[in-house]
Amino acid sequence: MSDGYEVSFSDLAKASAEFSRQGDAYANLMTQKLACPSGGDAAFDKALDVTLNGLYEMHVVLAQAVSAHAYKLDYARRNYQKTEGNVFDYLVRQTPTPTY
Amino acid sequence: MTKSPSPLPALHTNWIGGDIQGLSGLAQVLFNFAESSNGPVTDLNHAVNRLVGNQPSYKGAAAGEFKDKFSQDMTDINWLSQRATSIGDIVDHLALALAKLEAWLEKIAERGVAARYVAIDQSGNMSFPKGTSNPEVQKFIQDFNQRREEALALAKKARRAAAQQLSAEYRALSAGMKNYRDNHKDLLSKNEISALGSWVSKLDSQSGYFNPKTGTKEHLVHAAAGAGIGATVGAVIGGGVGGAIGLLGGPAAEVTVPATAVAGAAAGNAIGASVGGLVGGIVGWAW
Repeated sequence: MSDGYEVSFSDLAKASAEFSRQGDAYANLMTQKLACPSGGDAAFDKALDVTLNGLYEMHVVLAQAVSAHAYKLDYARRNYQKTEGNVFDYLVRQTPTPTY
Repeated sequence: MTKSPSPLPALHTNWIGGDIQGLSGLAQVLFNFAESSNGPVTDLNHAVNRLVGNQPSYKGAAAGEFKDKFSQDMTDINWLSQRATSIGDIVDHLALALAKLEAWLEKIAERGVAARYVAIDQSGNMSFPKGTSNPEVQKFIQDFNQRREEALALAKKARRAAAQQLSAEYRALSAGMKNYRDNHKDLLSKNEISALGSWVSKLDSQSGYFNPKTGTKEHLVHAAAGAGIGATVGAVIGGGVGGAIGLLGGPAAEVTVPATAVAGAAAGNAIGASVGGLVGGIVGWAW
């Protein structure tokens, strides 16, 4: 195993671990939809409720996207022999969708 | 440094309605979320730059494409932080507007308390130690009811403006969710793609209640809510002396008052002399 191979392998592992860690950290910043205090009328309360639901759901999406990138980095690490020297091409085109 | 919601005046009653402290607390939670999101963004940036930054570990034709795709996380997290901050600002401005109106009414009521026309218990209920036949007491009650009517009308305008601002934020969030649902399926689980589709449909449908395009339905909801508040306040304060309170009328009823306008006379000037004077007077007196 060459020095270059060792460095590549290690960098992918570190990057994957960082994305995984930050995906979890970001997910934990908002673990449920925020409570909705009343503004004093039904129309405002509905607007706030729908908006906070949208905020929470978008947050879930982004946390999952970060974790998916962690998965892709780790998948590339585990299949490093297949990258044929161009790991980025492998990462953006050939890593599969994560299975949860 | 984490952004803080606006300081509120001390309040002892709840004649305007709404959970003013709760709104302010929500603004703080939203500001905290936005601030805390900076940590993951910074660390993810480092992770990407270690691979393709100034001293790249890898070279390759797809390196730029990799950086674009993986850096999208940070861009979108920052975008969501901006949405959270904007929502926090909307909620914070409404809390401040309602608090100032509440404080203004309390100041007016204090005049009646000082003159012993009225007593106010800890729940904000009024009683009249001298009865209500005294002309001076009647004048105080009439003046207070008129001011309360003005304050409730302004509160209603502030709530409507805030709901419309939230509508714009929701539309941005909805577009973001649809973008991931349609264009980034490879980053989401099948369950999340399915859930996202359901959520977007459900929330888009519900957002019709506060979307200006469905003004008729919105108007009905506003009117129903206003009637509820008016009935409660009227029963507690009017006590059969002031008579029915027309919540939806009042001198400022036909003028659009942005939520932020209630916070300052400067903004009040921009929306017309009559309302600006009223709002400016309220703020100047309450603070």
